[in-house]
Amino acid sequence: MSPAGTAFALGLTVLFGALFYVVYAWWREATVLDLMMGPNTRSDAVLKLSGPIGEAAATLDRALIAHKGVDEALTSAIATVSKADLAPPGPRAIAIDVLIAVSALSPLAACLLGAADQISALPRALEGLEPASAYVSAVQSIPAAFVGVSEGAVYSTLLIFVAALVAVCRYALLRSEVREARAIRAFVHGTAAAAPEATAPQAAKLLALLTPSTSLRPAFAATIAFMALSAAAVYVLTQATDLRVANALPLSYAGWPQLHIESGEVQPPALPAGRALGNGPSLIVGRDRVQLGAQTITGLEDGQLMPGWETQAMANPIPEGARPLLVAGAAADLGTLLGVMKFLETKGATEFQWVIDRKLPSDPNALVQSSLPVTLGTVEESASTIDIDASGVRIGGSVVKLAQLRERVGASRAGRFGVRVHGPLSYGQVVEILAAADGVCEGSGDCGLPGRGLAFVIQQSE
Amino acid sequence: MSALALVATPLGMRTLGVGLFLVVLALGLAFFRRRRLIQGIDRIQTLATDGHAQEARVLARASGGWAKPLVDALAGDRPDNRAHAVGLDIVFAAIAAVAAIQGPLSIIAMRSSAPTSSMATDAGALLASMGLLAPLVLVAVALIVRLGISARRRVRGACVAILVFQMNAPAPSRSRKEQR
Repeated sequence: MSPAGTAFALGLTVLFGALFYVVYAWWREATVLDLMMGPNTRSDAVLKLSGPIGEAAATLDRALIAHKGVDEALTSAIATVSKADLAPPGPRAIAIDVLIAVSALSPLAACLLGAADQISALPRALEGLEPASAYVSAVQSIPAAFVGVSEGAVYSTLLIFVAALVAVCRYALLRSEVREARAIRAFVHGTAAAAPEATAPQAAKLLALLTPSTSLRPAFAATIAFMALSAAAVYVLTQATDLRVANALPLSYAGWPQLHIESGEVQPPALPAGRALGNGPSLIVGRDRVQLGAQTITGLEDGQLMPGWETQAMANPIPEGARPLLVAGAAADLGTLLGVMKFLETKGATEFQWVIDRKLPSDPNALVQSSLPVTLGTVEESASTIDIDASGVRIGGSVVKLAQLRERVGASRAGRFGVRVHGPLSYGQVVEILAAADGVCEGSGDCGLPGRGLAFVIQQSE
Repeated sequence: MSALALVATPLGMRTLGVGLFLVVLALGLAFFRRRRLIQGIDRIQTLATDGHAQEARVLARASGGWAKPLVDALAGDRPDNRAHAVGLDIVFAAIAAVAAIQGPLSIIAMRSSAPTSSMATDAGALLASMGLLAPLVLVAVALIVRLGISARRRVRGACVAILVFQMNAPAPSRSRKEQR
């Protein structure tokens, strides 16, 4: 059983105990006061009464036994009971209130403390992760922590209903005015039964002036006032707290940097993955040429590199550690891209950012781009190696569907994935597979969230 | 970091401190008001039972709505049981509850939008403080309502004392001026 469930069970037990106590206390007092109305049972009943009611009853009983000063004794008994505070003594009343309040709110309090624990543990859990991965993990973990709070709130709401029932029963059966009215009725009926011939003009006059009101109107008015105040508080909170508005929107990361690569007619593929663009020179691979910034490196013949192009290619040295932003159309030949990347590695490039377009749901007209970090290298055979050829994708030798790719890659928990490409492939085919491994959006649309921050090492196999 | 350790962080202590301050303020106001109410009741009752009915009546009329039953009793009428101080005490309680819970919620709302590294600890501290504050606020509300009910009973006790005194007092005790 969850902590909230345990707290609920304990709270419910305590509240039903309190309800039983209220009903029992009322039943006991009402029974004894009924006995006081009978001439033969009066004296025994008086012995069972305690507090101001017991004192007043004892005085009256003595006068009735002596058949002397009945009017004065009845007047005194009525005045004593009317003046006394018949509520439980202060410390006991406070202890009961504390018990009821803590019981009713214990599930919520337990869940709030549990959520506090979970949320404060997040930074440790996210330590060492890429910023994008940390963000995604955090946005998935935080709602999970609040699920418990929601459960606790539901349990506490149910317990508050029971606590309200206890309070209503206490108000209706045991409040001072009701106990006073019950006691005075017993005194008057007891006197009438014991001394039918006696007259009590003074007591009758006082009674006419002091008959307590047992109306429930104040209780109804207080209930309506409480509901109105609660509704007003909820309204004020809703209006004053922007967070509630934000919570109503679907999860979306709208803080993408404004950096955008102008690539003319070359349109990068649009996919829901990748991280924010880093700084680097733009590398645009079109149909007829390859450009690094404003400089043309080499011409292309129908998208293909010409034989011996490296010897004639123009490329000034690139600053050591540069990470060119590679923009290519989905139809571009992967062999051409890998050839250019290999050439630029010799000029100082260390990593390439494969640029992809993002279509944010919050603003479909926004020009937002992300990138997948790719390097060239030798890929060792391992359980997480991704093999791509024209027929499909395999991980660790087994064929994987695109929809299952993220799950399979996620299970391996590695930050950098080896990818081996076999045979002729288009850039669009490969980038779609890498984006499927990196993306976190559910369904086919772009949720606007950055990917998991995966990096890829590509090897072209013969 | 455990939930209770989170309460001990600066933000947790601040949140708990603000909430406790509001609760104590509301309790203090309620206690202060009840004390003044009881002083007023005792003064009116003493004046009335010492035979200064006229002064007691003037004081009761000047004391406000809560003293309406005493004005009725001094006039020899049936005291109006409905006129008492409980309504305002419930407002006190509601203000205490809303204020004590609204404060931390507003801080959560403001802090949650700030992408700082300490955000998780801050949110945890706020939640932990709320977990402790919520039952405390309900207890404070119950206590304040109880104070109001007790004050109301004191008003009734004073009415009974005045009526009994008037019934036992000889009729000529009223001056001609008072009778007019």
